[in-house]
Amino acid sequence: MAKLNILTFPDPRLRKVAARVTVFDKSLENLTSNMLETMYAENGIGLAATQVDYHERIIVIDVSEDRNEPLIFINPEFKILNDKSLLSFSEGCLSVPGVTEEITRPDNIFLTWQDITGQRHEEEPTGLLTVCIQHEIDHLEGKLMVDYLSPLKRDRIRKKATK
Amino acid sequence: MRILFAGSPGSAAQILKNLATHECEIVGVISQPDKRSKRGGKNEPSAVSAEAIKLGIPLYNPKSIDEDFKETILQINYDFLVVSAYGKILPSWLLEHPLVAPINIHFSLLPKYRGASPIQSCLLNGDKKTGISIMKMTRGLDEGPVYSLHDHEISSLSNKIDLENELVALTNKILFKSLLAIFNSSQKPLEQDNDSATYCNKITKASGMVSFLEEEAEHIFRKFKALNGWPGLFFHRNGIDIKIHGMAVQAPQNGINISDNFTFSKDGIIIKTKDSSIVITHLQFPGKKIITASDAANSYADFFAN
Ligand SMILES: [Zn+2]
Repeated sequence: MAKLNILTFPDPRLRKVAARVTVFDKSLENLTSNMLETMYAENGIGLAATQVDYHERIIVIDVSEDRNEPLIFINPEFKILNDKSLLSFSEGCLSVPGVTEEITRPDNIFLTWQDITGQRHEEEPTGLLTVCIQHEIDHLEGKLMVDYLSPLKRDRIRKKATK
Repeated sequence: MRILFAGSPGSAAQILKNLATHECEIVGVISQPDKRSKRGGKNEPSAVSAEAIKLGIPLYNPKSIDEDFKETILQINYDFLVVSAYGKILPSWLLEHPLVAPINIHFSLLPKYRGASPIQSCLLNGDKKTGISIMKMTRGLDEGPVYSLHDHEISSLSNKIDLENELVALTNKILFKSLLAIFNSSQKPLEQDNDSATYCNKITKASGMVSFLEEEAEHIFRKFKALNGWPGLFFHRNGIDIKIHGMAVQAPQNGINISDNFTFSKDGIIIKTKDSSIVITHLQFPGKKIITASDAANSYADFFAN
């Protein structure tokens, strides 16, 4: 296993749109275990492949208190089931260090994904997990938390990052 | 085409930055004086000031728009004064000095939402549509005649930050074209229909307080979206302000008695509103972590007992 380097804002590679995973082999298994190692080492609760410069639709997450429930989602997709149910959590991001921002997101989604053997799954996650999944899927679309910030804050971060 | 720009916050800085990429000359920028930073240290310039410095445009940060400032500005010739959220009242001489017109970009479809919080207000009212107005500035509060209105559809999930970003993007798409049209065709603006004008006030901390029994569920939900980030949504109970971090509008349900104020269910804390009910799924006591409703049922049962 190896820790991977995390891209940080405003690196343009964070804006790339990830491609679907079609091959479920040993190298996918290696990548996901390296991503988990990187996420744990950086004390993150989620990491998208985009953030470590692999542009495939892979995310890893652990929102458990004891940091011992790793989750891997390959080709995750979701539909919003109820747009009258929202969460507003203060989100941080390993690619935008030092910044947190309260963001509203739908709490009621229908999620489909594949595991590392390619098998399909579906679920209706809620709470912190649903926020985390949506945040990581944004990364796969080339979107960052800073897309949602007021232009002023975005400027401030850019200034800090280029200092 | 020569432009004098006036503005202060980040949204205005984005507009200035975009305007500077077009074929026009920005002859100067007026912005609020630097704010004294809270940690002592250096003063913090407004976002517009910072952008003007980056672009190398002459910058004016007058504490007050007095005779000295008047003398400086009257020496400059420009076709347009373009104002976006400057934050100070502008005197007549400044509005009369541009060769073509003083222009204001307002984030609503005037005469609706004159005033300080047009973005939050259209979300609070559940509007499906808003937009921007390119207006000729007068001394009154957003009362000037309008050159053009530009519609924008509001998505059902949009919060305040989303909508502001979208309206800035729309401004950047149309502002230069609009100025050019006014410049070239000496387009005349149309007076607003004052009788149908509505007004909106500045958002304060108190705007984020909910009184469940006095407000409709849908309205509470809109507040949650409109006040996201700052000030957020709070309710008051037993002398404490509790912040709401997750909520849903609850369809009337059979079998659950919501005659009580706070009812714990598997979905969250059901709370009676003026018309129906809402469910709070995540909440936060002052200085504590965000907790789920079931955590609250375990740890704060007495607190919520009637
Ligand atoms: Zn992230």
